[in-house]
Amino acid sequence: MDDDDDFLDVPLSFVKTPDRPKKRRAETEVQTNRNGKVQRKKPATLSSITAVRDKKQKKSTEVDLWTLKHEPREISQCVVQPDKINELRDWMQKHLRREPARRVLLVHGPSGTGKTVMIKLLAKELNFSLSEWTEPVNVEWKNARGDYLGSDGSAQMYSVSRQKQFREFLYQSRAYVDLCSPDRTRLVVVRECPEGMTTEVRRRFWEIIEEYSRKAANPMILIMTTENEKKEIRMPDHVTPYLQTLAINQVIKTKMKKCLTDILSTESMSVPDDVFEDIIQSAEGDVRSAINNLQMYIIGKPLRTVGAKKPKQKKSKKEEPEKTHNLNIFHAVGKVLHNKRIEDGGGNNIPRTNVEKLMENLPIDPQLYLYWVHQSYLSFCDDVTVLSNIAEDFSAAEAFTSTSGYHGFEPDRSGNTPSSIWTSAACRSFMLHNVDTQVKGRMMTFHRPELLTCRASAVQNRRKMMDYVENWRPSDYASAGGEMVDSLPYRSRVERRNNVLKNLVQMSRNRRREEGKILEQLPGQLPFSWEKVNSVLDEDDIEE
Amino acid sequence: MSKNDGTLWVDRYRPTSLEKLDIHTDLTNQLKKMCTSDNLPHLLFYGPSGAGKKTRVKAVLRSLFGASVEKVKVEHKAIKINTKTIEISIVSSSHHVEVNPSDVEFQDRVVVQEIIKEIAQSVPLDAGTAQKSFKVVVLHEVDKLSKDAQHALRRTMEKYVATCRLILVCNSTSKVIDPLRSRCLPVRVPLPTIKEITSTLQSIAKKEGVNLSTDLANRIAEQSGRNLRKAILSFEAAKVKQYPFAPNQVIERADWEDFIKQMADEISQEQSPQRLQLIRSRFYELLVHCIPPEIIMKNLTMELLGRVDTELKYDVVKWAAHYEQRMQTGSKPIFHLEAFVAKFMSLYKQFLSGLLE
Repeated sequence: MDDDDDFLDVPLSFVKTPDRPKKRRAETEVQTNRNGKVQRKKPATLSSITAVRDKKQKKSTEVDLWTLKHEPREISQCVVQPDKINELRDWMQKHLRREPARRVLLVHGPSGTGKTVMIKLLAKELNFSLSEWTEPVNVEWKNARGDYLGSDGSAQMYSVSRQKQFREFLYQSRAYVDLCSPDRTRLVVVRECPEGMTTEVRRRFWEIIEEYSRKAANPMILIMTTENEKKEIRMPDHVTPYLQTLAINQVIKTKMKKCLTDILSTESMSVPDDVFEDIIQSAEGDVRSAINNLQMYIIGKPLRTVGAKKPKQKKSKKEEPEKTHNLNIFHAVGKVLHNKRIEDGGGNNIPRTNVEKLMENLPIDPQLYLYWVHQSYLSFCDDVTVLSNIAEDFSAAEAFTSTSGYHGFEPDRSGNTPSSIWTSAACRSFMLHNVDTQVKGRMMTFHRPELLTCRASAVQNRRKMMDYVENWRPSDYASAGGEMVDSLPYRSRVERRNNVLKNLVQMSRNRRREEGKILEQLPGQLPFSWEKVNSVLDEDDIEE
Repeated sequence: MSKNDGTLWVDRYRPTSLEKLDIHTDLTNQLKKMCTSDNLPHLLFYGPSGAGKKTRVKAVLRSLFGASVEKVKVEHKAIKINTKTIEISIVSSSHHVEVNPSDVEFQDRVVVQEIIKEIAQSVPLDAGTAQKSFKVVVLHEVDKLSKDAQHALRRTMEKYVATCRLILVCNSTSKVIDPLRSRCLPVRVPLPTIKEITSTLQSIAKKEGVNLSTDLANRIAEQSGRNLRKAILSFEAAKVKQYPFAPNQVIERADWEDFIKQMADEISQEQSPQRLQLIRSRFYELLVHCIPPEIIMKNLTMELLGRVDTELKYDVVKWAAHYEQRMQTGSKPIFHLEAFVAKFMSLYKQFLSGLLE
């Protein structure tokens, strides 16, 4: 490729290698730490790492991850509702008996609801041989040719190479039988589906799945972890005929309580009732996080057993970290634009929204959020001077945080500030200046930022214009800026009056018809006119 | 109308060779000398639009390679970048390639490299017989290339200097990086003078058999802002509209110019958030029609300046400059255009209420 690329490759891979083995060591430790039996791989959460570290440091005290230690051994212990378990069992049995059933099952639900455990236990019960795919941990920094991937193209290539691995994995699992136990039916389990990725990656993922489901004999289960609020899964239509879905709900509180009490009694530990309640409350139906929190709480204390004296002074109530809620985008915009005010002592109304906190919980990039607020803020102001002050800050926020110039030309970006700070400055500016105009009872709807579509249609128009220019001046080169500004407006005028345009459109139509192109792609609506030329063309259309 | 074959005057009377160029004769002589010498350097044509950069590039190509350079074909080339393919239209003859890499925006670096590599690696078949042993790559709007692409260009330029010459075209050199500038011979094409424009218009009028008064020719030249292309186009537009010319013939302006004028009217009529909302939709309209935001800002400022008192003019220009600079830094021009109008509205409203008291 480029000289620079080769050059960059060396130092970066140098930097990267040293911490790779380290990571892997931590990983294996988690895998084998229970009686040498290989456990399911956990995503290396903070808690698991600390647990491992704790274990290393004080070998005398046995600290093991409770989420692994107390994993259900029987299906009856599983926290999933019984009817869902039965549904899954049905589906699996159908495949065992070679009855017609859909090839792929999509199990989805919030994290920590026992999806994986349920599948594992059932597979054991029905004697399936599991073939499991998890995201490869060793991050692919290189593509197949060994080129280093720059910051702009990296995500794309990175996922592509993973896709390749994924496809290979699926191919192998559908082509070969398990060597150790050839008589057992193989069940392919895919965890961590690329839900949050770009549309392109998602599309390819489903393509791979569809290909698999058409060709393979072995059943497959997809496990997808969804957000709490979100219930439905986006998937393309073409896979639905092969796909069955099974939605797992949040764990209900009574069940979670029972689960945690069981663990505590096995461990012969206890926690104060209010802490226990807090843990259950803050877990929001996530058993794994509840167990982790419980264990962390106990690790933080001196070990004590049931019957030992309870410490006199109680710990402060809110010890559990609050789960971060991802705000809905409309909600987030409303928090600033519809900001509620409370009266402070001095008779001033101060906004109640904590912008910095809001920034942390934004569902989207701060910069994109800025576009959203910008799209709607005009309707919330009554005074032009106020407006101009706010607009000034919006302008500053946009200018100093954007990563590339309008024309792709980049000015010196060395002094760039993080966009979240500028965005919160702009939001605060809105709330500061817009004091008098209370938007009581004003019902405003927020819209998607127009500027996002504006860019796309500009590109489209430019393409149309190029097509158009090409038609009457096939030998010349059209540059977007110049043609749009200088030539086209006059040209359209001259040609319209000369009636050349009509012939021209007709000519190009004939030409394209000969070439077998679709009529809709004609330069039918000329991009440069403001209604005027279109009328000519409309007449033309009627004649046809 | 009799000679009408669909081409416009501006195309029909475009000089095709260096000999036919009658404006900037000094420059033409220089170019002629360069073309006859064996060693043509890389060239960087710059100057405002409508000055004749492209015409000169074409004339240079012609005097380098002869008439065969005019046999061009337009192709839409697909270039593969990672998994994405982008399409770019390329004009090429057997001796040269023309491309506007800024069309593809973010991926311009790859496009520049791919195209130059491709053309530079294939030596023309008739290398022995042809006058020149190199091909030419013409790149338009170099000032809109990303820095990344410009640096890539620099390296590629050095690498393939034996087989390939570059002709770069841009409006202003301020956005072209220094190393690139120093590797090219800069050729400045200034705007023609009013006198040169009127004489060109007169010579076209003579060939077309149109009676053009000196007064009208002057007015067209004035209004074009010394942009020759615009002058010829508006001359033809005026002729099509009404001929023989009336003594007070109205010279039409481009649609978007009228549009901006109308916006300026709307801004000075009412200063309110609702009005700003309307103006915002107008801005979007312009941007969607590919009018560069710099030009919108400039024209709007000019229109607004004509509508305010002298004491306000300083503020208006100052804020226009302020937001123009912001626009260059940022990536979403609508923010800054809108902020400028908001500022103007606020200033103008204060000024008006000051008058009432």
